[in-house]
Amino acid sequence: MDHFFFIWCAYGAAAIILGWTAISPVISHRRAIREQQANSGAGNQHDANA
Amino acid sequence: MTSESAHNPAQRPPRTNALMLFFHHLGSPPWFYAFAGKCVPVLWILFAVLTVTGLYLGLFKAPPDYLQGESFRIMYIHVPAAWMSMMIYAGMAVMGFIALVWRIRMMEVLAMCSAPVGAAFTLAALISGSLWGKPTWGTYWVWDARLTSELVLLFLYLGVMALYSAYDDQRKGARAACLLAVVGLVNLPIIHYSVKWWNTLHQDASIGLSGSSIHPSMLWPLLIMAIATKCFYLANLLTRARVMLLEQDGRKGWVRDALAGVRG
Repeated sequence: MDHFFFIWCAYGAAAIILGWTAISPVISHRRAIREQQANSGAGNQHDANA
Repeated sequence: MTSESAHNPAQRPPRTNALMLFFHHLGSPPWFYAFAGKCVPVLWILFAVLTVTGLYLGLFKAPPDYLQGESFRIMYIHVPAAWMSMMIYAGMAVMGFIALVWRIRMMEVLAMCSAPVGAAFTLAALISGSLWGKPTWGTYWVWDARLTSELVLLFLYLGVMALYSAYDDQRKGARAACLLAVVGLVNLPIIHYSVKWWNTLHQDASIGLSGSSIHPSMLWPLLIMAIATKCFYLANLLTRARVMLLEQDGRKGWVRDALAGVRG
């Protein structure tokens, strides 16, 4: 097989693995912020009702 | 300060230099969260610039290898990924040791956040190495000492991650995982010296402290990619540590203060 095929595969595989490693904590961070803000909003509402 | 206390060493304020102060601050989750938030964008920009430069020089400017032809260009992802797999493990074990001995929570967080990034680099090194092996050796995989010990490193990373997740109490899980990380450190010299201790298909190191056998036109892109992967690791580590702090300290006041005005 052509050498370029192996080069493409190696860089493609690395891009997928490292790309997912880079993106997943960013998604988790946004979700954690949303959850924290929702929780603190619910807490504030609870305090206001009390 | 009175003239008496100025002459009495016992009453002088403790000397602190900037580095000690920095490490002292690192132990504080609110300070770390804010500090990491400032560092991450800079590290991603550095990573992008270095990666584009390194890959351009490595894939388009460096001449083909006289023996391997074009396939040597896999080196620009394989070698930095393999270096990072070992460097991250060493860092994780050192942080784990500090966390075990001095019970510093931030060290537990950083050690546990290093494991997935290290596992990703190890997997990238194994896959890219396998794809380099086929045109060079004629096979994707052989059970030689370097390849096998690198595979063991991947299992060690997975073991650390699994052990951390196995406990309901995150701090207990982190301590158990840190212990495994420290014990697994024994694998690093085996990986490094495997090509010297055993007769392996994998080549010996081309770059050492005494110099390099690689031509500068091929070496510079490799060094640039090596720095780029370090920026990637740091940016990723800091982002993961921020997420872990938010999850662990969700009910604390500093989290509400830090997230005031932030859009999720």
